[in-house]
Amino acid sequence: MTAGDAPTDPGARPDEPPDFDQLALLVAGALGCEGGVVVPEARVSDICADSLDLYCLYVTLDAWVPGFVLPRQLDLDIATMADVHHYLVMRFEQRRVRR
Amino acid sequence: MSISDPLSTPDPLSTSDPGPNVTGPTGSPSSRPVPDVGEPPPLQRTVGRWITLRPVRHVDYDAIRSAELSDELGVRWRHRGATPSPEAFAQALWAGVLVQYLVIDNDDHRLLGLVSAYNADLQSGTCHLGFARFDPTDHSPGVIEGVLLVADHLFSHWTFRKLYGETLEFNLANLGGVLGPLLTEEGRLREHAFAGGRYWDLVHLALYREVWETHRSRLLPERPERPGRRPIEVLVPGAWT
Repeated sequence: MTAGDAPTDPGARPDEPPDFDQLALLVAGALGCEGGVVVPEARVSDICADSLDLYCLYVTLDAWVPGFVLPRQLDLDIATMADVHHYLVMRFEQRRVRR
Repeated sequence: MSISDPLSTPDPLSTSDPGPNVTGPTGSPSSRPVPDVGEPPPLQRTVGRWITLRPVRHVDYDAIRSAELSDELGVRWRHRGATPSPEAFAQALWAGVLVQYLVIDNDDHRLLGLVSAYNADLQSGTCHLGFARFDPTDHSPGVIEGVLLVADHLFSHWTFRKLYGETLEFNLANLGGVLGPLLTEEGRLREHAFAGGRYWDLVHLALYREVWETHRSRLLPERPERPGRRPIEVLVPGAWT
């Protein structure tokens, strides 16, 4: 498994956080949208048009950080996919330090 | 027999003995697959990544009532702006219910919502599924995970063909693309309900078993459990040990 890739083995989790392009590819696959749509400046609310899309985004992020959620204060109409990537990497590193 | 003995607590909705050698509703004993001796007993899953499904207790009634009658939900859900008495509310809470859980956040134990399966028709293989998100501004995945876990529970342990949902059209914006991959619009009552100074359509939706089975592994993938979040194993009637 390449560092940062989402695990395909259900018993494994990645050793490294994803770079943005890896994350974008997986998010696009999970949401069934074109890979070019998931760019850093794309707003979360534009990528995830509804509750199920947002849930699928979270399921994708959960591969790196179990139970990951974005900060409650984050306004998804303003937050971008770069913000999502930032918080995911930050939480991943926090967990790694705790381990 | 003690009340904990599965044989002494028959499911009131079941039409058959839950024993392992009985004939199913459509097949003869010989047509049923012989259970593998090493096969684990069926378990229900109430613990997800983000939430835990918890049965409703008496002490929860006030919190549920407050949430359901709040400005955010009062008009949009089942009471449609009315304020039933505590007694009437409790009765309505359980009317026709087959399965009902509160959705509790795993991290801070907040009450996120309620998921109910009701009006089960075992003859036709249908059941209604409804849910409420108590904080409409909450964008965490918990309530949706709760709904998916209950849907999975219903399809796993009953022979339902499809689950129905109904909603007024002003709630559809929140459901949005849920309609796309999962739900089929089965019917629409035009200008059915009055709210906010105008009439709104009532939309009937359905989640078919085949559709659920297609999407199940994507929506509820198997992954290592979160540390300290072990599923609760429950002995259910019919689970032979």
